[in-house]
Amino acid sequence: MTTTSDRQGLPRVWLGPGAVSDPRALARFGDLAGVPLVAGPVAAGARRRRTGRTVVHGLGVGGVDHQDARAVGVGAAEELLGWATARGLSVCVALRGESPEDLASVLDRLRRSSVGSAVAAVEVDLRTADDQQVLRSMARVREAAPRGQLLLARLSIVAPDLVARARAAVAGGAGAVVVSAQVPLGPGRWWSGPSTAALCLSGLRELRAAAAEQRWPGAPLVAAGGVHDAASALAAVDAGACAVQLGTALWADPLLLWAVRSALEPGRPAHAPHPHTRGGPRPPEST
Amino acid sequence: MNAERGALLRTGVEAVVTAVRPAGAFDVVSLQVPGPSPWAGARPGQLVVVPVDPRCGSVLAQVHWLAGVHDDPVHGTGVVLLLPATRETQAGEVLRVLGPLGRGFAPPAQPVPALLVGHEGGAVPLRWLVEVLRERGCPAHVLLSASDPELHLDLVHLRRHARSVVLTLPEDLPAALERALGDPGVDPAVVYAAAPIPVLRTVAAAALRRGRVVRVAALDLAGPVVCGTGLCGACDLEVTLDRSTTVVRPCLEGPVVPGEWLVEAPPR
Ligand code: FES
Repeated sequence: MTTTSDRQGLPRVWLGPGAVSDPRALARFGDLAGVPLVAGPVAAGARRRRTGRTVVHGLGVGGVDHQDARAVGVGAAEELLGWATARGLSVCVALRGESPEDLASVLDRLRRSSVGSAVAAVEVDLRTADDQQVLRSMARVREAAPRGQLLLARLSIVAPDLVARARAAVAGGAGAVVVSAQVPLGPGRWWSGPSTAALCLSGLRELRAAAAEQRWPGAPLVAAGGVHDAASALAAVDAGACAVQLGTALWADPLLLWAVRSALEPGRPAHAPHPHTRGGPRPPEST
Repeated sequence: MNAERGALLRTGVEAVVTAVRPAGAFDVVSLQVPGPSPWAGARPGQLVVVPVDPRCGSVLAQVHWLAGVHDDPVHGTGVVLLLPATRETQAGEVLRVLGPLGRGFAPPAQPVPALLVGHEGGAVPLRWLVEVLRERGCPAHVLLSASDPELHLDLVHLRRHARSVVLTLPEDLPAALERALGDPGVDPAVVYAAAPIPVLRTVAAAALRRGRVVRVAALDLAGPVVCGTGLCGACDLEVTLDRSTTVVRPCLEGPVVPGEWLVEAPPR
């Protein structure tokens, strides 16, 4: 089974950095082929090998109020890259940094590492960046990354002028934009969960319309927010996403990964109800 | 992991509630599951996750200790969970469950005496472990602490299987533990504990000082558990490994770990 988008060669399902702080746990539940594992968030100067305790401040209807995951060091990313390489899996490194130089220094180290070639993609956390910062950061990451490396810019829907930031991301070298619907609740504190689905769809539609009007060049969009079952994944695709990212939804049900992956298989009619949308067990793919 | 067990773990199973028996603040809930796999190899100290549908409002899975697995030719495979009475579990309810997950308690190879130490609802794994130990011929002594008598776990069941059951208040637990460890009538070769992490650290330190083997279930389900599947890291725990401090993730690398991991300077 292929899980690659027939349109842009982008994997259809991605894992949310922070929410999936050790993707090796998912391997207990099924085959991860075609799903880039997520390493990080990785930051220059961070030493920890694990993101540390996820801090949940509270739960509400359809969401969770949580602290951003703390960044790990490059060593942690290398460890996961080694694990993934041995199993023929790919990894997306999620980068976080105070400055473009911080971002680039992580990539420099990874390029020199023996497992650096296993990096399939790099996602840069630019949720709190304005368009100028997005441009500078992506351009510096592009410079530091190997030629042809897929770069994703993670942008917040909630910050002003999403289209300008998406335009800056592409101008800086991003090959895809992750449309994050997390709602900021304070410094480093976010609201995530299925209740953000409408926000995510609005961001996807805004970027799709802006691309049609040539207000930005357009790039594959990854829906990150409110995807909590196959139906919401298909709704995101309908709204313009090429792929979806699963984060806190996997805390509720890790098997959702396979249900969504199966729903987004190329060739499946976009509106067909998926038999395993939620709840029912489905036969796993052989590993 | 054999292929069939792997497949069932990946899909989860639909379990039907066949009986609900009140036990203080808990309900002893019996579930019928479709077949012996993957439950045949299950152990006390393993976890069961009940996924939730986020569309119904809740966004976190329910995580429970596995409190028993029984297989018989007439009734098939039954799984026991201890659920809070406030959940109001009803016979006939269908739950989708993922499990058994994690590393459980390995009973001793020889029929040696064992001391089981637990605190309130965290002691669920011990309820099943005491049964397993008795089947192996290991005399089991249980020491339980709780701040409220209602929170002691299914005492009828424990008294049926254990050689002795001692109840204590949390503040008296360290002294009661010292007494049990020094009691020639108990004389445990191995100490098993399931409780909040600070209690586990106390138990591990005291038992290791006396040269006993210690195994602990290092996950506090009353604490900051978010996923139970090893994804989130909410349960990450600083431990001492080879005299250096590192972080383990009980949902993934445990929950049962050697007691040495929880003490700062393991006695040599
Ligand atoms: S509670 Fe999520 S990893 Fe343990």
